Amino acid sequence: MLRLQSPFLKNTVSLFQRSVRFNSTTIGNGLTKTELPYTFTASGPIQVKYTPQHEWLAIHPNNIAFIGITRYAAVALGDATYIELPEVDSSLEIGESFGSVESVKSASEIYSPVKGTVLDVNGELQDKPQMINHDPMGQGWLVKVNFEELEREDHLLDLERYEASLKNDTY
Amino acid sequence: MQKFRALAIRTTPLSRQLRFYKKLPHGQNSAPFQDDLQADPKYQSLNTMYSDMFTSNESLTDKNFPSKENNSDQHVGFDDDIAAINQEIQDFFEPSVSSQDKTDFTLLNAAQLESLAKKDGKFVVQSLSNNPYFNLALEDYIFESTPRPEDFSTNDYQNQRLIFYINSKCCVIGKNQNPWKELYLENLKAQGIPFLRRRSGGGCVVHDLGNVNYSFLTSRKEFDKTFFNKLIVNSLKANDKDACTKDLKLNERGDITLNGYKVSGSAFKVAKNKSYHHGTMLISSALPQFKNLLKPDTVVGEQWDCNSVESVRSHICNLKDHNVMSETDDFVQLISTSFKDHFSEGNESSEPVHIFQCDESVSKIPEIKATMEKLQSAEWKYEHTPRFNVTYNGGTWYQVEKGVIVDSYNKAQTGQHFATAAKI
Repeated sequence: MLRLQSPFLKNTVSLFQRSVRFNSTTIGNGLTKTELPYTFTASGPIQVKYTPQHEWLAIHPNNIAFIGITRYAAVALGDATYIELPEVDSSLEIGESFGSVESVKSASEIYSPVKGTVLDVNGELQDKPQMINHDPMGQGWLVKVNFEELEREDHLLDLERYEASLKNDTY
Repeated sequence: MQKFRALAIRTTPLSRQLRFYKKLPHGQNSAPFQDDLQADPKYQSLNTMYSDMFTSNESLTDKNFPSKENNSDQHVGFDDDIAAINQEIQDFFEPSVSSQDKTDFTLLNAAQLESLAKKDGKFVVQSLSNNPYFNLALEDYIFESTPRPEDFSTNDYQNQRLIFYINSKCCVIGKNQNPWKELYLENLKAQGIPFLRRRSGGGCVVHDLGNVNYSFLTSRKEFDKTFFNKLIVNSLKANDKDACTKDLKLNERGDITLNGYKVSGSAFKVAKNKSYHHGTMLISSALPQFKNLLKPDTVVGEQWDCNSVESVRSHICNLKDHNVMSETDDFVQLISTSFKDHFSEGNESSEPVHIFQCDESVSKIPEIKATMEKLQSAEWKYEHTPRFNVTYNGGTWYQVEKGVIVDSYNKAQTGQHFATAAKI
């Protein structure tokens, strides 16, 4: 058996922590007010919720919602190279993966905070995946859905609580 | 080092072994497990079950059974047998309770793997199979089964795992790649080499028996693209007596290079607040035979218009070529030890980290079987390809979505699978 003497760097800094420190991504997770997920209703969405897995959900009247990933997640992932989106008309289940973002050799699953049907997908992301880095809270939305049911209330955070959870995320 | 122990292979059905207990000179109402295990509450239901089995219908005071007093000669031998069988049954239900020497390199059966993967704790698993479909499915199963952190911010995640596997010759593409663009599929077919689409991102690689695949699982929070490769580089350097690793480096893409040649490439997956980093390590691969399997950036006579993920071409070499290491097993042992040391150090109270082995007997776990089928399906291999347009010399062209031709120079081909039309 080959033996070793502790050849490791003990103080590794994770990708997520690094982004917290140097990119101030714990702020800026509000919806972009000039883009469709906000402007779909003239007065803006009824409410915007966040999941602990870094998805946002903009809820509009008549059970319409938009889903995307937060700025925090987009910065942490790095430059997106491919966005995998569901089919229009496909069903979404709460907590199940409906797509993924590939960035720098990493495939990250995206989970649905709603049960419902996909009405539309952001097709522009197919050709311009980097849009999810430029404006994840607006232009880079992923899907528009007709939802029947939302994730449990205690699993959805408001902006303040979501950003507070990110600020706690340091050593 | 002993390669594996045939401990878990049971040729005698459990029911027959249990019947054996009826002939043992035990107290009439006690099941053989109670002495050993009753102190531990987690065995109580198991003990009750066995108690019922042994005492329900037949009385153990049957006059044909020898009593303890008048069979003292046989007593010792019987007790040894009982101890051995108890140990084996205990191992069957609770694979990690034995001492380190006994447990390391234990060959897991399906039940043991399932129990191990779903429980909290760190471990190393080495696959003894060279079937790439099995190995990718095994990795996926352990990843999916690993308990997830309670929430994203949890800082004390305890379920790091490390998996090693070696695949027979195959090509493996990233999750969002185009096999027709990346591979000379006709050459693969002619040589009987399969290609697989993995579930992580990144580009295309060739595997053979001289290449070790490692897979490090942790939480999404602890996910760091460089952590595990730093551990590998530092381990190889610490193990090097002849300065052969002087120019062993981690580059900006997370590849490990040796004297400027790539020896290791990495890919990553993040799901359910967990992550894995898996990579290849070329130890003693037959590199000349990798030729004409992966396509270069551009192939004369083919024009591609697609948004699939591109492979980054690199010159490669083996660790063996520069006298760093020549046996795949040495790499597995070195890095297993590093993993154990890293995650045990400074934590005396923690459970020891063990190395287990798996072969395809565990593929009867339904999830592993299902994943193997998925990995082999045309839907995953071909239809998962991001949409593309391709024009070949001579003007033939295809527009393809989900592996199906939606438009073509030859309208009769619309609706056909591209694999059929292209005959590959």
